[in-house]
Amino acid sequence: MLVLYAVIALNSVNDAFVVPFTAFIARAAAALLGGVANGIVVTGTVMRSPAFALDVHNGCNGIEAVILLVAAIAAFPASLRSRLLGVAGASVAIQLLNVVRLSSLFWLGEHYRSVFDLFHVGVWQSLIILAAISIFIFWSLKFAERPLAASR
Amino acid sequence: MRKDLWPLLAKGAAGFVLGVVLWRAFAAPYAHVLAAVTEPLIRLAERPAVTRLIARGSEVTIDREDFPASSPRPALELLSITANVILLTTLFAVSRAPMRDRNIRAWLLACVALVVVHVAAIVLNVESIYALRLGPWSAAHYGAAARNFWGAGAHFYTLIGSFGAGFALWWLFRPAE
Repeated sequence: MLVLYAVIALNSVNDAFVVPFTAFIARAAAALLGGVANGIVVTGTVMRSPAFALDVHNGCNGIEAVILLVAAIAAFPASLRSRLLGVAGASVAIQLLNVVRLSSLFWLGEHYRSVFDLFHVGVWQSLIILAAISIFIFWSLKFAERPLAASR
Repeated sequence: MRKDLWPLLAKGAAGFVLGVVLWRAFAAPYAHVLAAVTEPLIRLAERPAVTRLIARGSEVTIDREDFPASSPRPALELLSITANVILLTTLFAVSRAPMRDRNIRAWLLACVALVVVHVAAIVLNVESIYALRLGPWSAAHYGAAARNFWGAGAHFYTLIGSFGAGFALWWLFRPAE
């Protein structure tokens, strides 16, 4: 986990991978909102409408949850194939959930600004991490060589 | 599908709601506790000891006796630092018997350990503000290594450390089932 954190903390990795990826996530969240909201413009990592703007920073792009998952999957006894499948499937699932999260946060920011912080800092952050833990437990029960329950 | 999935989800949802309620309801008094515990720790490493942490709502304002009186004071929002209590509470809630004495005792012990994590996170964040966000004052008082250390520490806590600590404390303190 520390190694992965150190990698994404490097400026070169941040500029070449993290920022473009975050911009892609912001565009996906805006596209998802397209059905219920009009006039959302995305510039880089910023989603903007006439009523609200949201800048997607590190910590909001789902990469930290993916790092936690990758670290857990890598540390668990399983075949390389199971691990790669777990990492790929888990990353996609977390990022899909994160797109829903960003869309809902933008919608809340536009319509219910008073509860935006509650959902931004507390509810959604925790839900993403809980989803990551649930995905890991599911993977460990289904695909790993030794189920999680037997590891104690 | 596991037959105990729905009870598990119900327990998780109840624990999640309890965590959110605790996190929000005690934010202001807890900020006072954290400020009171953290301030002497920061002052212990200072020569002269000048930092003052003043809790206002869920925020802590960082004051220094050597700052000009007219300068604005930086503030630290504690809700993002303390949100990992939601994760911790939810994880203890999904245990096989969440209301059993052993589980509640373990959760309380983990919460006490979480206070230590929060104190450490505030130290990291205050030092990171000192090292990186006060312009020429930061450059004059913190070298490159110190700036990187405090900045990376606060960044690590924000990105991974906060929820990593919540998960690790549950793993350490959970009663064997």
